[in-house]
Amino acid sequence: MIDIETIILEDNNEYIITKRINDNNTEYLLLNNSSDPSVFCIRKIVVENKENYIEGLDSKEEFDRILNKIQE
Amino acid sequence: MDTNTDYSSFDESISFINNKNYQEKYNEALNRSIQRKKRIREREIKIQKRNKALRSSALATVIAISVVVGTPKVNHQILVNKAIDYQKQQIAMMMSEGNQNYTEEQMLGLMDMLGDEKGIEMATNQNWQDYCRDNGYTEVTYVSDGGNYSTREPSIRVLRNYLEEEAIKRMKENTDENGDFVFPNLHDGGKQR
Repeated sequence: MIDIETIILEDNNEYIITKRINDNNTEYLLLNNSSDPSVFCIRKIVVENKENYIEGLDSKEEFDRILNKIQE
Repeated sequence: MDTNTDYSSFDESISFINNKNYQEKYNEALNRSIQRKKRIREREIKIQKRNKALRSSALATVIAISVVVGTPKVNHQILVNKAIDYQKQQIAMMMSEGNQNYTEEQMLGLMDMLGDEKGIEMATNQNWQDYCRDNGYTEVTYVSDGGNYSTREPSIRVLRNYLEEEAIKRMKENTDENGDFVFPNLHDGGKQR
């Protein structure tokens, strides 16, 4: 057993933070649904007023770029 | 066996078996990723104890989707090799951590990687026991203690061999006439089509 970070997203499902990736000075999170690991999404951490927020991506291009980076 | 492997950069093959439609999953993931309705504070992240195999299989699924989307044609032999390597790594990792027995959870995790939702049943069913017998693994013991299943060390080797052969068989049966890997439909409980 290992420590795993989880978070509940806006769909009220719990997601596991499977991987953290840095790209262009932004940290991205690979999130997998804890009930069905094949359900996943990618979010990024944005800083606003010294607070860190988890936010959706802006485009398909950004999604593809990070998805490809995950397999590197 | 190399026990210093980076488990964060493995295998796409196992999750090929787990997914009936990678393009659909890709589109769903894309939509979820671009979802911006609500910002969530990072401090809402919680730390929990979880099975390592769950995390591994989740990452493998994503890598599989990424690979397939970016590379329409995949050499299935490479996938087979990676599947085998990954299974060996998983077992080596468990052994290096001092596990003399497989717990039910560990076996389930391994079996999940072969796309069998009834993992423990697969590990204990007649096919596996027949495989052990047919290959001369007479030392195999199987212990059921109040629902906690375990096998002794020799069985780990048998299980590994079984997984390897099963992975190769499934991969080869999902190759088209051009030798390219095609996406299997295994949503019938993990059984081969």
